[in-house]
Amino acid sequence: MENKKVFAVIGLGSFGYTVATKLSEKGYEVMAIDKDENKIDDISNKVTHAIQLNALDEKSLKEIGFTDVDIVIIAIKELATSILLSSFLKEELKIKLVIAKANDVKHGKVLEKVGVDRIIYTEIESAEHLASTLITPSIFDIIELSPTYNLVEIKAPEPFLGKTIEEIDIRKRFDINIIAIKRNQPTEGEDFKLNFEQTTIISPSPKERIIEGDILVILGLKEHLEKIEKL
Amino acid sequence: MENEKEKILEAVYFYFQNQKYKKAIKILKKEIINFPDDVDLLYNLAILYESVNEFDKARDFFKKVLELDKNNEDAKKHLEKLINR
Repeated sequence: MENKKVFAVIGLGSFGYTVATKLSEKGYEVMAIDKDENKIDDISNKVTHAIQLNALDEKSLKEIGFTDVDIVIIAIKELATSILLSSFLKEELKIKLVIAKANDVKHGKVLEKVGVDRIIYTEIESAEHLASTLITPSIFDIIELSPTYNLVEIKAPEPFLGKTIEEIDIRKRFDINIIAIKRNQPTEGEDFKLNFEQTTIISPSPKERIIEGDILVILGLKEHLEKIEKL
Repeated sequence: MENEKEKILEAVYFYFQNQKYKKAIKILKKEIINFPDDVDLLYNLAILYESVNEFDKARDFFKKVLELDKNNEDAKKHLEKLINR
């Protein structure tokens, strides 16, 4: 357990609550803070510390000190509170890593200015995610690794089927990497009843042949990935 | 009919084991036109669609299986997994 990061989550709406309980489930020490007593009651037996506190109460915040806290996550919808608190945590308490949820781009820009290290646009991000997966039904999942890099899970495009990774020459032609293949492997059944199990081939060799039903996990620049999605 | 169905299922099983899913789907779809209420054929078609990641179609056929055989545990399991995707 030593050297494990300690987290504080301020604001226990559905986003803050989920982040706090998930971290706690994974065995991390979590301090959960909200001004609403009911919310504190709900979470009190799910995290290490649950504290009822107004996030603008600087004196109490100073008392808590956050000396052992490595990462603070601010999940407050109310604009002024979220901004004032962010600035206080960065400037006064010198918290190394502050992550804040922004309602929109404007909110995010201000948070950036007061020194927030990472800004989460939950609504925009999930909307973009949904739109991409709806427009391109062959995409099962997208993870944005950086503003330029994505990790996508995509149905193996028709022109790839039956060919090896080497034959497709995927690196040269598309400048992307297949980092895993999810494959449905038929298993034996009685009376010709069909069944399969999903296997994952991590770092597939260049000799690996892509077959029907494969899902490719690809890493690459967004613009290069788009070319594959259009195949 | 039983004899013919057996042959079809055997062929489908063969193609499935060799991961020639589209071929297997083609054979099954043709057979289902003649026997639209056959649970074995419908179930296998659902599994095939799931194997090639055509989840909407797979869901529809698992539902059809359950309409005809509401205690089909395998179909229930697969359908639940697909709904939670």
